Amino acid sequence: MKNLALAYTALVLSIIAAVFLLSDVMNANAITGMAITDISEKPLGTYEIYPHISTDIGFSIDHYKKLRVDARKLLDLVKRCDMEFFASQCTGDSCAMDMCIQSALETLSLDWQPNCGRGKEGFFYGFSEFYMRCSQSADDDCVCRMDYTGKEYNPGEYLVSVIPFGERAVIESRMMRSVEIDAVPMIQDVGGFAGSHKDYGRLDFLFVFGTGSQSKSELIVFSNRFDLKGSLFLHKLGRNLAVVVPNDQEIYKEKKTCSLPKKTTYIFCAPSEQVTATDASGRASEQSLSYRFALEP
Amino acid sequence: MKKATFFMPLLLVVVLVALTWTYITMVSKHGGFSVSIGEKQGAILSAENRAEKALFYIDRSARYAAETAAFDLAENGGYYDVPECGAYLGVTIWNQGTKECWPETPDLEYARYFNDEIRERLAVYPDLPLAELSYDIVLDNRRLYAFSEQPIKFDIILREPDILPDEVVLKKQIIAKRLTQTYNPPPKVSLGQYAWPGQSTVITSCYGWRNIDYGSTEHRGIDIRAAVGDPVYAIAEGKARILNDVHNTLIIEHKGDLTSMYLHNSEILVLNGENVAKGQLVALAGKAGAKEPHIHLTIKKGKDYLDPIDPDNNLFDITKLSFTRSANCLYACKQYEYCDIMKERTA
Repeated sequence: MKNLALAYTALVLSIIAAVFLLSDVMNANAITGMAITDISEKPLGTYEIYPHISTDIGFSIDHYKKLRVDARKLLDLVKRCDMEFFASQCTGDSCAMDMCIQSALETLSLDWQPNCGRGKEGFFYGFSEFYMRCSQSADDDCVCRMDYTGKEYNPGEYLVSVIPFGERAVIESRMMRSVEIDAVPMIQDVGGFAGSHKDYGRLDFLFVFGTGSQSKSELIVFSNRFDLKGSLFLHKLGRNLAVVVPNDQEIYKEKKTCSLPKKTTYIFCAPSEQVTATDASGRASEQSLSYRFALEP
Repeated sequence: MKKATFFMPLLLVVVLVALTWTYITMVSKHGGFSVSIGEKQGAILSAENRAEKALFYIDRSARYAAETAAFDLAENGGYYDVPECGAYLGVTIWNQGTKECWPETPDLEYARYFNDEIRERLAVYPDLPLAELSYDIVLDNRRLYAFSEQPIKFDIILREPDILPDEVVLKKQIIAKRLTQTYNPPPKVSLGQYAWPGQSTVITSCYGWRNIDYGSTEHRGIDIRAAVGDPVYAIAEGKARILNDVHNTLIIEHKGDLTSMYLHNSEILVLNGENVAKGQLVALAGKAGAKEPHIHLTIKKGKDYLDPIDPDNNLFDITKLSFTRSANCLYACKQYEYCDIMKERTA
């Protein structure tokens, strides 16, 4: 009996010891949650993805097919124009062709804008075209004249700059468009305004189109402003193309008029959807998607 | 009775031996493992998270790139390069005499614009060379599908050691700083392959000799207007070197023996020896060693210093920049043809 009591006491003690030992191990949080792998600085592996993308876009690439077809139709119609009929209805350089094109656009129900319309873009192309064709004139020591009545474009302020660039000129429209012209821009000034093309940084032309007397046009050189009085005179002498300051315009009226090369290329803007585009400053904005191209009828 | 007397002590001994063996086994295993449960799964999830973040950025970039590419394509008459028929006042000509240049493959031309646009946006994504991605494009009605030719790879890292080396601590701090910055792309001033290093396009001091009271009289670089904390971008991809002691300068060594240096930074956001991408945010502007905050950019080709805005060097488009009166550009520009442009843009 004595041995049996001793045995039971030993058994109880051993169970207490077992519980103690196990609780020690459990408290160390070492039994569960162990991974088999040792820690290593090497990556366990590589997670690899192919970043394919699909997204809705605000335009259809098939629109170019339609533009091609319409452009061909337009050229066919223009070829069949009765140019004599149109010429009898208007005067001026390329007027008959302009009317013929307008008529063809109406026939085809196309909302294309010749020269990209009557807004700032259209003004830029109109001005640049005048400047470039004058520089390409076969005549020398002659004058190109551009008259603005104020009705050619939508009301508003239009600023365009001619910037000397080596022996060439860059015509620029406030971050929107720029084009290089093969001519040296100068200022023609008999009356005493000091400044050669090496001294001035740019020639700014500010046209304000409004209604009636509200329209005006100015040439700005440094801080000097010259009222162009609705007419811009360019004096072509060799490769130099000089803007005649208004005070001297009377003198240059006596010079022969430059014959301009025949206009063969016509610019169009075909408006379409609105898309989000990033401008030169990196800012995203909604802009009208306008297809720009030129045709030679 | 004899049986019980023998059995109970034996049972006691067996239990004690078993418990001792269990204890020793458990304790010895404890010393060999240090990875908690689920940590590997966590590492995989972390890699997936990084991938999702990159994918989200790519998706958003793709959306804007898709629309901007459409705009660019339409502006250029369905062409990327000027076609054989040429251009009239910058407008693509579709027919010229007997020559016909109709836009027959606008989808291919669009893909080129799209890749340009998306690369420009992805170049500023931190830590990953996403700008190296190239996409094959499929346009289906009004939906764009772009398939990447290369995968993006993310390392599955178990966890960082408890005690981090100094450079790892620094890198973590730098990455944290980068993430607090906004990533507006730099303005487009480049003539081609270079990113403009600042957000402003105003030059406050030109390259060359200058007559000033403070700073060097021979100015072998340009100063770009910036406030303290404004972003400084890498002009091209390359390897970074840091000269903390000299005006907190960051140097980036590019391909073709070209080096760009960015001085006066308040913070440099890359590590010594780190590879950086074109247009990546690499520093924050400051006035370390300068009177006023600005970004000083010096560019060297081999041992020769280059004027960053000299058109002959074909780096940046001077017509997109403007100059302050105090920039001393008129003095500096006498030797260049672009003097006139500088003068007219002097505000």
